[in-house]
Amino acid sequence: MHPALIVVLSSLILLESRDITGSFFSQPFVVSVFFVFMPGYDTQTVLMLAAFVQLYFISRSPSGATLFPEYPFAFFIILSVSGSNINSFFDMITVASMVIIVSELTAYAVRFKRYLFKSNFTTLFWRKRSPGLWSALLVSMIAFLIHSSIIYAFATLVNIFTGSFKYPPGLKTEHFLFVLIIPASYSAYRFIRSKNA
Amino acid sequence: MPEYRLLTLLNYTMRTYFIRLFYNYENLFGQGLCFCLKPFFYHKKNSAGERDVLKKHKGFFNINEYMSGFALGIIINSEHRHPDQTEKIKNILCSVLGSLGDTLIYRLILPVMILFALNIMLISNKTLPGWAIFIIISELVIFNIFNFTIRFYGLKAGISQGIESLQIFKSQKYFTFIKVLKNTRNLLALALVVLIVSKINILLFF
Repeated sequence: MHPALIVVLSSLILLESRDITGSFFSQPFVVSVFFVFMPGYDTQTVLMLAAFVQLYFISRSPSGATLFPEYPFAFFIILSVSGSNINSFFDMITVASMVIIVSELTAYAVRFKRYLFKSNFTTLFWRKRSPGLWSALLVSMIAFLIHSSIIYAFATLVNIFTGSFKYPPGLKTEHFLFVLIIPASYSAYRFIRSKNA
Repeated sequence: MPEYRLLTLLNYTMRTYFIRLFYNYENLFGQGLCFCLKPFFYHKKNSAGERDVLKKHKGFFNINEYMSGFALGIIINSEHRHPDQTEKIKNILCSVLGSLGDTLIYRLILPVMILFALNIMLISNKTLPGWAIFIIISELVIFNIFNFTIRFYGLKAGISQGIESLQIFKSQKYFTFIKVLKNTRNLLALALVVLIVSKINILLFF
C-alpha cells in the first residue's frame, strides 16, 4: 500500500474508533478481513495477530477520562507496514509488541487532541462559541494525520532495523498459537469470574 | 410538548454519532451535548435564545455515547416541561447511563462480537472462506442496526416519557437479555480456549 494511503486510512480508523459513529468497523477482527485480500499478507498470520490484539485488549473499556489504548489504529498501521514481512515466530512477537506499544502511545496522542477541544481554545474556531461539526472534524483529522505520519515513520524504521536480524530457525509463525493461549485463557478466566457483567 | 417530526428525530439521532467528537477534559461531553441540542435551539430561539441555552448545557456532562439518545431525549423533555430541573436530571443521567452503556456495550456486546468472530476465524484454519466473511460482516451489520435503534428509540422514548424511559433497564426482559449475553460471552471464551488448545495439539503431534 502507498504510504500516504496507509497514513490517511489509519487516521480515519482512529477517528472512527474514538470520536465518531462507534460502529466497530475499525476493530481488528473486521480490518483483518481487508488484509486477507491484500497481496503479500498471509491469512493465518493476519488472523492470529488480530486474535492476539483483540484478546489482549478485550477486558479494557473506554471509561471516563482514563487513557484507553487505541489498538484498532495500532493494529492497522503496524500490520500495513510490517505485515507482509512476517516470516517467523519472532517476527510475529515483534509485530504484536509494536501494536501494544503504539496503542499505548496513541492514547496520549488522543489525550493531547482532546486538550485542543478545551473551551478557551475552541472559541477561536467555533462560531458564536458553539461547536461546529466540520471544524471539529478538521481539527481532529489534522491531529490524527500528524500522529499517523509519525507512527508510520517509527514503524518503518523498526521494520528496517528488525529486518536485518537473523532469528534462530525452528519456530514458525504457527507456533504463535502458544502465545495466543495466554490472553485467551486469561480473558475466559476473567469473564467467568466476574460477578457483575 | 411539541410533536417532533420523523426528520427532526433522525437529525437528532445522527448528531449523537458525533457526540464524542467534541470530548475534552474540561466538560467531557458538554460541548458534544450542545452540538446535539442544536436543532432544539430553533424551537427555543424566541424564548430562551440560543446563547443562553448553550451556556446552560456547556457545563460538565458525562455519558456513554451509545446511550446518548436517551440522554438527549430526556434533556429535551425536561427543557419543555420543567427547565429548572434539567441540571438535576443531567446529574442523574451522568451516573446511570454511563455505567449502563459501559456494561452493555463494552463488557457484553463487544466481547461477544469479538469472541464469535475469533471462533469463526480459528475454525476456518489457514484460509478465510466466504461463509466466515459473511458471518463477520453480518455481525457488524446487526450491531449497527442495534446501534441506530438504541439511539433512535432512546431519543423518542426520552422525549415522550422523560426520565421514566429508563424504566426499561429495570425490566425483566432487560435482565434476561443481559444474562443471555453474559452466558454467551463466557461460553464463547471457553470455546475459544478449547479451539486453540486443539490446534496446539495438532501442531505438536503432526
